[in-house]
Amino acid sequence: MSFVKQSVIPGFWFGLGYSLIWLTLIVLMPLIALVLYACHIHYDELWRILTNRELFCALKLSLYTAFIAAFSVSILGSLLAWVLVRYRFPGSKLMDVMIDLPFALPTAVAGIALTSLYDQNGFLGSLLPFKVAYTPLGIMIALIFVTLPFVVRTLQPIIKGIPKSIEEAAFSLGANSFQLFLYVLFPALFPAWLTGFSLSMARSLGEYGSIVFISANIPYKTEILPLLIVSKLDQFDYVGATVVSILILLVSFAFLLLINLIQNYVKPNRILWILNRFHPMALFTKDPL
Amino acid sequence: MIIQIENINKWYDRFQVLHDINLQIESGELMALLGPSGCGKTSLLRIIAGLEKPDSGTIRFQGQDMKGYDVRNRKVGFVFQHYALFRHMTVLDNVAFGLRMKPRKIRLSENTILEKARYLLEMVQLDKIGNRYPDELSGGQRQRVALARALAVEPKVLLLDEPFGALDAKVRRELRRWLAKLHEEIHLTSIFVTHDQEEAMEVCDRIVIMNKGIIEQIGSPAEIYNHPRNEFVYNFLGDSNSLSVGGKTVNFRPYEVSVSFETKKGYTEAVVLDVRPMGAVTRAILQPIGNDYTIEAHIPNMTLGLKTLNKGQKVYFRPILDFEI
Amino acid sequence: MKAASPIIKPYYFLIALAWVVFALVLICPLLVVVIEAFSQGIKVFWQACIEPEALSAIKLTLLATIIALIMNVIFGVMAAWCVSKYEFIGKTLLVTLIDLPFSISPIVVGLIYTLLYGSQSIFYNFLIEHHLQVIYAIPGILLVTIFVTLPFVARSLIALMQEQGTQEEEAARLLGANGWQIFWHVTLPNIKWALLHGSVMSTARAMGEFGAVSVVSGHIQGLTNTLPLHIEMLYNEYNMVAAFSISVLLLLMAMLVLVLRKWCEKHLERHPQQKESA
Repeated sequence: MSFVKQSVIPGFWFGLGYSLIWLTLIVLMPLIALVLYACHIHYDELWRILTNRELFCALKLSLYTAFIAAFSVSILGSLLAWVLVRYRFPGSKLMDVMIDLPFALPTAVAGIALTSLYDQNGFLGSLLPFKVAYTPLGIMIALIFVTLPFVVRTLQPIIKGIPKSIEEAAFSLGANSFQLFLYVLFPALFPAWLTGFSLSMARSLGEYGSIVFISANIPYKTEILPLLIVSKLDQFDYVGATVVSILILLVSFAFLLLINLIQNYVKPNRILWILNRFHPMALFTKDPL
Repeated sequence: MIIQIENINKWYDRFQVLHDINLQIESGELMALLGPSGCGKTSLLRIIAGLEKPDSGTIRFQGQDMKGYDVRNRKVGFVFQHYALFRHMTVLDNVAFGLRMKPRKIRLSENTILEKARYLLEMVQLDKIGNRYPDELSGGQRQRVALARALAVEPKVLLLDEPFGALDAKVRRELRRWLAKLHEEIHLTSIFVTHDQEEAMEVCDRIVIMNKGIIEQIGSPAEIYNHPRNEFVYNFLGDSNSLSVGGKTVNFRPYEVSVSFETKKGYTEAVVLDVRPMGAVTRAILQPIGNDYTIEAHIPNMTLGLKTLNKGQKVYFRPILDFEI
Repeated sequence: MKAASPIIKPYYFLIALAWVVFALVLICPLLVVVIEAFSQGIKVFWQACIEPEALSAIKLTLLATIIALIMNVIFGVMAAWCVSKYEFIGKTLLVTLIDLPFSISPIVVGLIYTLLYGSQSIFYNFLIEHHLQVIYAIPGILLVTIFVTLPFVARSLIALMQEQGTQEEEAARLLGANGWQIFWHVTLPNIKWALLHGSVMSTARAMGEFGAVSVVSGHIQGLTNTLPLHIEMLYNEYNMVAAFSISVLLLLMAMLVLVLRKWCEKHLERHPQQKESA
């Protein structure tokens, strides 16, 4: 078998050559520089950096804020996606367009807007009985803002793919609303939901612009991994910054790998298989099904 | 132009789609490549066009080896299955495309190009809708635009890939008659691929029946229909029954059945499962007693006693075969 | 919905809930930007926008955006052409590589470029000798902007072109068109909306990029400050009104991007494949 399937359309080698050269220059070379630089780091130094308590706190904070934010956003996002696909209501067009605002709005603008909104003197912050800005909660809110479109845009096409007649069919076969949700909609949506969750998780771990203002960057308390890199760079600690960067890269790639696994292995029929064997309905009703 | 196809082999990965194909298409002939899907007919057509390269073998146009000839220089007109019209161009621009793409030295003037494109549209009876876009046309109209576009560059060979495949039955019948007529007028060496035996029978001078990458039979429609070389060809050309008589299996078409209410020599006893009028004939489904297969019989409507034929009735039948008469 | 199905009633409370979420998460931050920016009147807003440092930030941001856009369009067309029109070994790898910049944190992008061209680099002496400063200078900003926006155009194009297949190009080839003619007369008109879509997305990201640029820029006022960096600086100087005034500019850009994007998507949807409609 030859490298490329023969075709009468010209321009393959030119296009491929240009693409590869450009990718090497822009993407691969800097990444290789990172790897080469990391190779020079002495083992003792690596151990010292990795066991640092500041890094441990930042990693913990990054992971749990990202997880909670991704979880909340995947629920809020599902709601918005469902409503946007299924219903026409006043403002639905506007909502559909505006959902993408966090994609288009520079993160720095989002950051300062959210900070002044949730600041103790801010419009929402003054109404709430607890502190939001400059706490982990503030970080989560910023993450929810920036990752909302990921979930909505992942779910929308899947929901569009479930015709309304499916719901009618389920009702006509005697299912109630809850059964409809559990046995028909949930298995169909769950894989996309998990994908949206992982996407927003991966994005959250690297997020910087929208967090830097609202977190106030207090070491051990509100310092997430990207902020830690920046503070290390400010002290010209390239070795430390490199180690933390590689850590972020590894965790993000783990989540991207997870997305691939989800798309390959989490399928509606498998979810239904589990549901049919454990009868979660029995938890909510007295009669066994 | 005579097209000679010699010892063509083609592999896709480890799957051989064409086994040693040899074929000659005479000048001005309209030939059909007929076969079930996956038999390699489209691959052969694409190889003739130069869209794909054979792994071995030669294609000759008028005796000249086409190897190394780019698609652009082969002078073939190709009509794609889904027409591949340029959707952002009007019908007229689609037809004029090939003429406009010529190198400046040999390109006609814009006015001549338009004149020629209009003439072609007139020929395919679409001159009134030259300003429309492909999206606004019916399937049959698109098909004719694709044909006019292919003819505009004055090809020496016309290749059509399932030209009527995407059309509904009525339009399909009209268009293929029209195509046969058009071929008669312009007399261009043409090959077309189809999986519909009726279509091939109706339009072509000669038919090539292909199966699993080999040629089963080549011949005129009458030759192939009356003297099928093997069982595959026989079955592919129409509905057929098979019955074992005296330990030998005989194949016969539904209209080659004689039905009688009384038992006669050589007749088999059967039960009528279903009776349906089908226009000129009545279709009866018969089940020979003691068997689980069925026989389809097309009985001419003028047959006496047909009106009394009913479901569940016991009848006798026999295949009418040439050698028995 | 046109005719509501009799047995499926819309859940009005779901709609209401969606509105609450939408208002809280998306509308509130937006309003804050506008209210803060105009809290001292239009004159102060305008003053913040036309002060020399803001103007130089606007210039630099536009420069980075335009250069990144041009490079992305060229790369996107090339990459999409070979990914969508051919079958070859390693195609998946190429697509993964194209998507890679999306999955790398902007701060990490800044860092890797600093390692490649900064004082830690093996090229550093060479760069110094030839007076080529990359990090803490405009080339660095351009490079990281290109990096973070690289996949946008390619992705939009690949998605559409893979769906369109190769038949029209083959037809054009058979009718005698050469490579350039095929691209210009057949492919380009078919992909123009996807191209615009990708360009809009690339522009949005390039104008707003903050993390990566902030690492490599060195924050030199009037020289290497882009708009987002200028906002950060004003904010840290407690010059809220000015910070939000500049934000309004970027917000307007974001709105424009959203509208343009929707417009492109409408056009992309309006042209269903010939295959399906045939």
